[in-house]
Amino acid sequence: MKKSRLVLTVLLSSFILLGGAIWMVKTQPNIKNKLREILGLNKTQDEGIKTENELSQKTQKKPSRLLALPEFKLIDQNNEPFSSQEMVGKIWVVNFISTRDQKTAEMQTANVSALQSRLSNFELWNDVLFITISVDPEYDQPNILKAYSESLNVSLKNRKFLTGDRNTIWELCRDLFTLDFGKTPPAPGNLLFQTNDIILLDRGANFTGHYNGVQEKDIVKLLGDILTEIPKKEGKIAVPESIVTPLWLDDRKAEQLKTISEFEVYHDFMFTDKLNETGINFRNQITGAGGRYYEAVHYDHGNGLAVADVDNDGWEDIYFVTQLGTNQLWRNLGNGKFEDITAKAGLEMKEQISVGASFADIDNDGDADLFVTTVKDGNRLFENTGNGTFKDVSKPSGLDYRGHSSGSVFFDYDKDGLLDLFVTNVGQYTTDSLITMKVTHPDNPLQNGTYTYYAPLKDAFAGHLKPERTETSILYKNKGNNQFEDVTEAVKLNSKAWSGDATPLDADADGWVDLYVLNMQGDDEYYENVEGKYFKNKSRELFPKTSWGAMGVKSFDYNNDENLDIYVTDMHIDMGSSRNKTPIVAAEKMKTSNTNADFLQSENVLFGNAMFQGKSDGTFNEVSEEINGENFWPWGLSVGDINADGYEDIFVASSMNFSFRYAINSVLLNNKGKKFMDSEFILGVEPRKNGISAAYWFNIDCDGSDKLRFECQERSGKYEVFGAMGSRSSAIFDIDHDGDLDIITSENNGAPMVLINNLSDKKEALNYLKIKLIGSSSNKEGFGAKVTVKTKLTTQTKVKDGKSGYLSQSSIPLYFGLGETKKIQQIDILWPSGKKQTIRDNIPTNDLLIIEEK
Amino acid sequence: MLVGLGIVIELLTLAADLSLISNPLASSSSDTLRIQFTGELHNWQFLYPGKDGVFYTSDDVKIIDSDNLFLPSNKEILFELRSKDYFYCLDIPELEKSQIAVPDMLFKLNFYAGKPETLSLFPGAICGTINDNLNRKINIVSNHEFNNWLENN
Repeated sequence: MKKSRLVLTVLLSSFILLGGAIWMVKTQPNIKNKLREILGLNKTQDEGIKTENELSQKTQKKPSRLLALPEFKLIDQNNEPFSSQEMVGKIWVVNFISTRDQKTAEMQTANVSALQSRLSNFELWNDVLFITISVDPEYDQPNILKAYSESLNVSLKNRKFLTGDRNTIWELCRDLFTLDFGKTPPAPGNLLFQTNDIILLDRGANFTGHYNGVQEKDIVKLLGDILTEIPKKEGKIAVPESIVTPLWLDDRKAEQLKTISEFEVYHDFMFTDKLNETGINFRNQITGAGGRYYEAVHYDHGNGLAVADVDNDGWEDIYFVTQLGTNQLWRNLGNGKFEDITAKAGLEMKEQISVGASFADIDNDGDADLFVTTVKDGNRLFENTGNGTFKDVSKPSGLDYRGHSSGSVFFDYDKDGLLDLFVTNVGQYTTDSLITMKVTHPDNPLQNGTYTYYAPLKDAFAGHLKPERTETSILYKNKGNNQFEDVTEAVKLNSKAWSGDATPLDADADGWVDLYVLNMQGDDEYYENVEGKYFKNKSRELFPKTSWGAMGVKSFDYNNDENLDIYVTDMHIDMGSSRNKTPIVAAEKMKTSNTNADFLQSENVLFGNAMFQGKSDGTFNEVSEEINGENFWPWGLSVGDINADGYEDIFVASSMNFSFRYAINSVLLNNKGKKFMDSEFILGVEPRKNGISAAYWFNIDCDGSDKLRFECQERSGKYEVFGAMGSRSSAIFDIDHDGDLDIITSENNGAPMVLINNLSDKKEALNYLKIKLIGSSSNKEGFGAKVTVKTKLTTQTKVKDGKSGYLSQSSIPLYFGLGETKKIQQIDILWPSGKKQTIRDNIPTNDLLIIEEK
Repeated sequence: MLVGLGIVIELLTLAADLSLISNPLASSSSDTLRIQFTGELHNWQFLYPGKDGVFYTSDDVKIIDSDNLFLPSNKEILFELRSKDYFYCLDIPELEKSQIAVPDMLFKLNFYAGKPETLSLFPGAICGTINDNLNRKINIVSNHEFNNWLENN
């Protein structure tokens, strides 16, 4: 047992020096199975279920086809010729029936139909051909086959019923489908043979597997093989395999559909990912730390995205953030299309690792300026020079702090009419040595190139246990003329939290904006603003327990009681959960999470997401269980009334990526302020477009330098490795100005989703009002203004804070859904300056109302 | 070279252990079996104190390449976890126990090994999923079997 591993260790060390983490893999079947179960891997795929029916014993397994394809000609159900040419490039699923004399024919046909329907969700579907061949060819003439398929409601898309010459079929079955029923076919009039086998051939017409067509588990296995085995043969490996066939998505969808009777609110609308139609070809590119050289480090928190109308043309533009390559600004052309104006706008930044971005009008000149956080490359401030072009004023502004900055929020803490800035710092999670990484993406070469990033600390996620790694978050006072001053100490802010984000809110309604600061590795913090002079730590007084791994935060009034509530998402609670089950309760997730006291270093842990329901006296009740506030592997959240019924709904960007399982993005539809209904499947947000939840991650060479990687276990050759897709942040706004709210996401290592809402097409009477605020004695952006819209149905209170998604702040109009009324009785605005304004007359609906501070 | 490296590692471990001795909480009675876990290169090394119950003596037993750990039944057990590089997580689901190993820090996990049974030892998810190398089986066996195993290592 005491084998020396020195040679291996030296070898490994050299890889580590190159920045590569290598995982040695031993074969421990039982433990591995347990681990795979934890990861959500489909056990049945591993166990290789054998077909039990003796009818399936006649198949010979042949590993690969070395001979040329046999030529053949048959006839389909429409009396059209069908030849071997049809096989080229297609994956074949073949079964054999007699329409008049086979007990199992109908069951087989139904099972293939079920498979066909399942596969139609996947992109691969277009490459699959379902073939049913008659074993009774003299009787089963085309008209018989056609009538048969119609009687069983078979969809003939990608599917054919074939008949033809007895000897041709016999030879075909023998040579191509490896069915061995003897040397010569039975005499005409007799069935050629009977089998329940379904044969799978890959694109090269190679035998890939046989499955019992009347056994449900075999059909499931066949589906799995089509989606995993065939890509594997084509040089693709998914880690874990379940990301390619997330069968639990079907179960989850079915469960969600069962809850429809509980919906008291409008839900008959859908989101569709229309990225391709927009022309946006931005792609988020991560550091190797989150991909090829996976190490557990905060780089995996990804990037934000921010939205603002940078050129004041009335259309909101989108700023995408990436770790490697340049962030990009896409101008909304108003016709559903976007244009990349990064270079023109002077915003190319190619050398740094960016994290988050915020838009705000810092100089009150009526346009949106831009702040970007980076990892140890200096944060950036870009002043908008008026027409959508920007000037880098990072250095003179004093905002060019170099550290592990993350989210940033503009708000006016001292009510001088200038927006101040709070920058959250995570803590030291990198070393000073640089790793060079070459990006060569097969589908999206735009960001290809060679990049460097700071090497992660190997124990980054234990950073909170090491006080010397603390990086205090910073409050900057805006002194005017684009000059900022670090006043953190002066105002007694001393946030040592490992903070990824924060939100301003005036919880005690004293007119001075307070700060809720997230901690991703410990207790959240709450700082009450004492008249703009200093901040008082009221963390445990107001929030005795908080989510330990807090990622996203948004304060809003979910129950329309005019008190602001705070919703916080907690990621770490979910790390060990095996898969997405319902009901989702924190207690279930907790069982598989690290709840070790030495690691948590806190006795104030609230497991799972938190919904702090605000009360009129400025205190909070935690009600996440009652309102169904839990979801899976959440990051940032955005809030918006996506069904325009007068209650705010929630989108939670979710899922970890390579090498973890896939988790769904969550849409929580507000059920009249009582609770939230899981509705991502009902509203078309899940499954993702084409049913795909896996994406290309990196290449490996199992004969070369990657030999020791776990993916290369029992493999040789070159492969593309696929990981789970995952969102990090989002913004909710009316992208296409059709009156309903759309969702745009920031994906970790992927292209964004542009989820277009069809509510305006579906709902006959869609009623809403958008409000743009223009401050005068208050900051021009109107950040901090509280707007109350009263109709006979609801009183909605919203604070304009620009918070939308993780790591981001946007400059977008407030959106009020009005439900079934068109009539707004009154709008009250409480400006940050303290001014109160009431509007009663001539209030438009289904329009943008611009309100200037008076 | 191998010996030299070994000595350096032992010294480092000893240095870490001295801090343990100075910690009053760390003192444990002879009824407790202490086992040192050291995480290195996504793998565990284990050190048993041997029959004399004292570390860094000639009868110490080092387990560096085994899928199985053995513990005697009816005994208090104390795992002392350290790391030479990464952040390691350890879960024993059957006991609903977890612990971590972090460079320059010492963490402990104690439990009572009761009747003979087999427990699993997994890496926790927060430390990453691809850590198959950290999987172990903990076999709780009779005193006799345990001593045999120890002697054969």
